[in-house]
Amino acid sequence: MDTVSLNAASVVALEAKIDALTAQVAWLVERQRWQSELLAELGPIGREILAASTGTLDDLERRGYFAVGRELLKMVDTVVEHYGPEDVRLLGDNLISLLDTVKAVTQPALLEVAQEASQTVNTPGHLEPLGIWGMLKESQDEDVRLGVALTLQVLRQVGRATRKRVGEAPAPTPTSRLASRLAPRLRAEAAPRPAASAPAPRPALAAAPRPNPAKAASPSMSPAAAPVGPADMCVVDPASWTREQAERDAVELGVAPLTAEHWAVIEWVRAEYTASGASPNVRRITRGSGVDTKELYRLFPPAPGRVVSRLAGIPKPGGCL
Amino acid sequence: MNTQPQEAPARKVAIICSKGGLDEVYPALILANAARMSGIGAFIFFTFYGLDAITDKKVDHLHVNMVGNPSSPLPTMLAGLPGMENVAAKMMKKRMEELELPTVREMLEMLDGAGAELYACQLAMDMMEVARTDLVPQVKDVITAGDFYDLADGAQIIFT
Repeated sequence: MDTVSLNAASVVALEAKIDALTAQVAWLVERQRWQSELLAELGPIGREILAASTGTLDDLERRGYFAVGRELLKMVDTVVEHYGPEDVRLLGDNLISLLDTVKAVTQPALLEVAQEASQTVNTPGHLEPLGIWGMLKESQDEDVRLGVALTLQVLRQVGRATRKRVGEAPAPTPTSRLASRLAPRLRAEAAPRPAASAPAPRPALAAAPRPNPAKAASPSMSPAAAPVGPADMCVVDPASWTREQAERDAVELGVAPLTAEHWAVIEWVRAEYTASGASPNVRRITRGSGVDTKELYRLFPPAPGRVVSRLAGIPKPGGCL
Repeated sequence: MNTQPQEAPARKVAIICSKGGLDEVYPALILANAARMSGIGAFIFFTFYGLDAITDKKVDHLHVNMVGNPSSPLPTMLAGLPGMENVAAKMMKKRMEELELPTVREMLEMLDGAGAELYACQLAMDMMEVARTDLVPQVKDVITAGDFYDLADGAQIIFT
């Protein structure tokens, strides 16, 4: 053993070190004590928890959760194998409409109907097969009639949707078929205007002047008193209409000065011509502009349909009414 | 101010409406309306079955005769069956609605607003036992054939 020189300083240092070590050991012991106390307290709690969870898991197992879970996992496996990420993305894109459809289909009313229908199918009861006469007889039943009407409505919707999907034009109704043959019938929902009757293309009012069907002065009319002959109504160029021109025409036709009432009708008629491509006749004007027949004849004597179209710079109206 | 006189346009037409079928009344009414739209003065003289068109209770229920009518779409044997006339009238009304053709009543209102004058025949009213109060309000007066000729002086007479 090496002799260690012991002097006062080193002894003090050694004492200090020993003190520090003692403190550390004491602290370690203390810590150990706390830990064992904690474990002692936690022990029973832990056991309780373990016992409870084991019991619950056992319960679940008995009730079949795990069995179902295993099957579900298999199902998910099948789905994942069958569909790819593309399909899921597509599904996601249509999710809202899908959910809407599901919501619509699971409405209580529909569910009730489906339930009753399925009940009928599952437990038909006593049903005789029906022949033609049987069907005729059954069609007297109010419920059957309602069911037929409902089914037809569904079929109609399916047909309409298919037509839309395939890209065909909407089916022509008898109205629009008839209307398209009688020109110039103005119906907002009619089939495309037949070319023969439309006097002008719609976008610009630049149209060829409407040809005069009648001669300027027929022999039976005295020229001086001819009220409003076809020649007066020949509109040379609808696109070059100005308000000043209308004022000049008004003087010529004897309806000047043009008041606000006159202008209201003229503006309406121009708007109508721009919108529909055909000059409105008197009946259309009375229905659309709110000015009644008497008023119109007062404002634009003697032939309001023609006078107004002349003042508005559009061809004179066709039709009988 | 209007310099054009509205009360007496130079050209006039006088239309006689003597039949009461739905298809027989419209020509008279449309001719009168078209005349007014061209600024031509128009009178309509309703006589015999034409009175139905201006009788308040009947004006909405005019029918078309399908039987013995060579233009009828129905063969006479079918057209004569009970109820067929109603069916045909309903179908015609429906088509008119689709085309927005005015009803007879509406046409009378339009004509009145346009300044056409509607007259009833005195003789026919006596024969059919129709009173003045039974007529639609648009009728201007009850006149005889002679009065009609006075009115139609200078006018072109159209008989329908």
